[in-house]
Amino acid sequence: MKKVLTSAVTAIILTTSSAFAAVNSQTGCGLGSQIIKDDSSAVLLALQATTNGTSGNQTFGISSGTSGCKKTKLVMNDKAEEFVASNMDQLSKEIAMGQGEAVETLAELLEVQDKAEFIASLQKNYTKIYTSSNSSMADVLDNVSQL
Amino acid sequence: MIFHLCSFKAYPIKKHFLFFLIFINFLFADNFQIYQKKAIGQELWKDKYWKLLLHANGNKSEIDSENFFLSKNGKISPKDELLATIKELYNQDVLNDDAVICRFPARIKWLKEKLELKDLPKTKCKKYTQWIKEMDATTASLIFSSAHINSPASMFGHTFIRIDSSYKSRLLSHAINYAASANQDTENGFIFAIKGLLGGYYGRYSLLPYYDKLKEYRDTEQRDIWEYNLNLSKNEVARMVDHIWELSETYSNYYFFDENCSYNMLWLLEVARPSVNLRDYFIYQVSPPETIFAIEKEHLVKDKTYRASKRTTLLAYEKSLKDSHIKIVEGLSLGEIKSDEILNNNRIDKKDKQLIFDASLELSEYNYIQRKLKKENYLKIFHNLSKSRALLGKGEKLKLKTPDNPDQGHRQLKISVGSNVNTQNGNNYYTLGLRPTYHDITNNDVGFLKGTQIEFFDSQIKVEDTNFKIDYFKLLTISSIAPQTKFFNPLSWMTSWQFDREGKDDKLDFNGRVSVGSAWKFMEDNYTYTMADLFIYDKGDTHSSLGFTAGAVLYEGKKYKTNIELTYKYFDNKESQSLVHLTQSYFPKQNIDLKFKYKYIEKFYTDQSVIGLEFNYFF
Repeated sequence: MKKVLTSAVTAIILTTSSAFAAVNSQTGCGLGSQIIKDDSSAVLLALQATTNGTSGNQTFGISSGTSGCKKTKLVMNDKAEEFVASNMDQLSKEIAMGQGEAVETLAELLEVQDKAEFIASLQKNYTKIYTSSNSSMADVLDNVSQL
Repeated sequence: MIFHLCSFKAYPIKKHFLFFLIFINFLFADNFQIYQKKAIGQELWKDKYWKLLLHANGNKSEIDSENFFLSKNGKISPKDELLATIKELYNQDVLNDDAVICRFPARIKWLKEKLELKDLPKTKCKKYTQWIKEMDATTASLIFSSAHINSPASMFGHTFIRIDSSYKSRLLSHAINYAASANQDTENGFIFAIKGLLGGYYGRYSLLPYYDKLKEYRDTEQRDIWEYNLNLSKNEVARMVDHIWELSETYSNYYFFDENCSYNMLWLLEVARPSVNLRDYFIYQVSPPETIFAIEKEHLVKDKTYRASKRTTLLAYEKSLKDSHIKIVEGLSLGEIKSDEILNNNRIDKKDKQLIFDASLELSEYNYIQRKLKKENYLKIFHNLSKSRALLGKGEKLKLKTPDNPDQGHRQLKISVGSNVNTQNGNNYYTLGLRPTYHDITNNDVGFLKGTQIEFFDSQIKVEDTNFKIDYFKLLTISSIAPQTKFFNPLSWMTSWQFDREGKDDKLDFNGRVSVGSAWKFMEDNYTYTMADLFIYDKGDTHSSLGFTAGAVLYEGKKYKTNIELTYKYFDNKESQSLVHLTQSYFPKQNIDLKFKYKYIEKFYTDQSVIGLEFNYFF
């Protein structure tokens, strides 16, 4: 009995140490954070796809994490940081277009009252938010909060 | 109690604290025996909910990791596991997150209610509490990611559950996913498939933000997503979430056909609402689309939403853009045309410019994902396009047509009967067919990706007078007929491995086929295709043939479909053969398929020419 419980305990220690850690290796904190199609898998796509949903990334990570990212200057909520870090391209595109689900989500995370006005202002100030193609999550969020 | 004293010796715990623990254990010792007796009296381990929590089919749990069980018989004995859970709950020697009460919240909450447990250990479950707070679960949805183009095998789709929070944005929900843990990069695809069929991998549950899942399926794999929002109450969802916590870091052997991603979602849904019997809908295998039929039959669906894949979005841009602007979009997305050139072009009006830049942004992202653009290039192009687009103000929302929901498609298993006449000799014969799975290009496209086909073990018997013989037995057929579009130039391909009687004699022969070609769309839903074929045989002096195939599919109003296919083969023994297949289908209902068939097959002596009527039923 003791042994079984110990193994359960060990497992929980493992779980909890990974539970809130960064799990999305694709998130680069900057633009280009999409998941790139793997060349090798294209060849065997037919066979592999029959296998339904395989993934090497098996964690109980509740967030995508921002552990490798530059910190924001201003105090920000973790959720907003994680979201922006993981959706840099989608946000860039939607801010430029002046509409979209990701930009609405950002407004919700930042608890903005007038979403339409906020989104329009983001579009107008695109170059102040994404100052260069190397802008990172921290830059974007700091710039947004200074608008 | 001696047992406990011994085990405590290993821990550097202060003496008075140790006595305190022993004292607590004495206090609880009686309790646990009383509750065990009560549980025995109620035969609580026979309760469906307890078995659901253990993932036990009958008495045997499908979970294979030791850490899921408190009794060493836990995998095979729900009773032992229940008694052990009660005992360990009270006889705990850890007072932190590793305690039974923190590790198995769903079990303990249920036992507490059933056995009216009192004096539960007051362990603060810090990590669990924080996790529950983060999850902030309110409702749940079943998510179906449909087929991706050029991979008909993905027609089986993938399902996972999304736990929604009190955020309005669904992007901030969490996805609970079950998958085999194998590294596709290092494993050979064939071995991977075989191992998967035989349970050679461990399957694990994982949890990720929904936006990450969308990146994976909608953006990278180009699969349309269907969301089935469930009518689960907050309590039901809370129960499921507690159980998900219990499943962290556990594993089971993964079987692609039955104990797969979709099947393992069913446990979670049944834990949420134990009165539904979802697993009973599946006899021999669980395919993701069948999960959808099951949740609808059990009245679990509140409403449905659709999310277009990146590819579908780009196809919608193709439709909205003027023809002359397609090249501009392609040029912009690859950095071959400068953003300023278009921005300052007075001959293009503002609306068109908005559309051009919207589409270019989408296409450059697509090109990057598909590795057509290197990262440095992409970053520059994408940022420039975004800058230019931002100057043009808010445009119109892209018009996206919602396709037919997969729940409107035909079911998986097919039986058929046919009556045929050989027009040469006037002979009559009947056919009986069975196809366990799944779809061919003559079937109704409603709910399916057009031009895709995948069949396993399709078989037909020919009955002539009192003679029965096998007409064909197909191990596997796959077709991916993907028409060329303005933005996409995919290859079309087919493969089949089967025994049939379509050779120049009338014998049942094994042959394999691999064909590659192109397809073109015309008038919305119709397409033609041409392919070069390689056939491999296992018979006498013929080993292979090269061939050429041309075909067309006409699809009208979701009710009629015409498919004609011509093949010409040159065998390696200098023989040649032509074949014609014509199928006219009529779909009066979701699961009924009526066919008129004509086939002409060139033979050694008398060519074969057969017409037939066929009734197909899916269930």
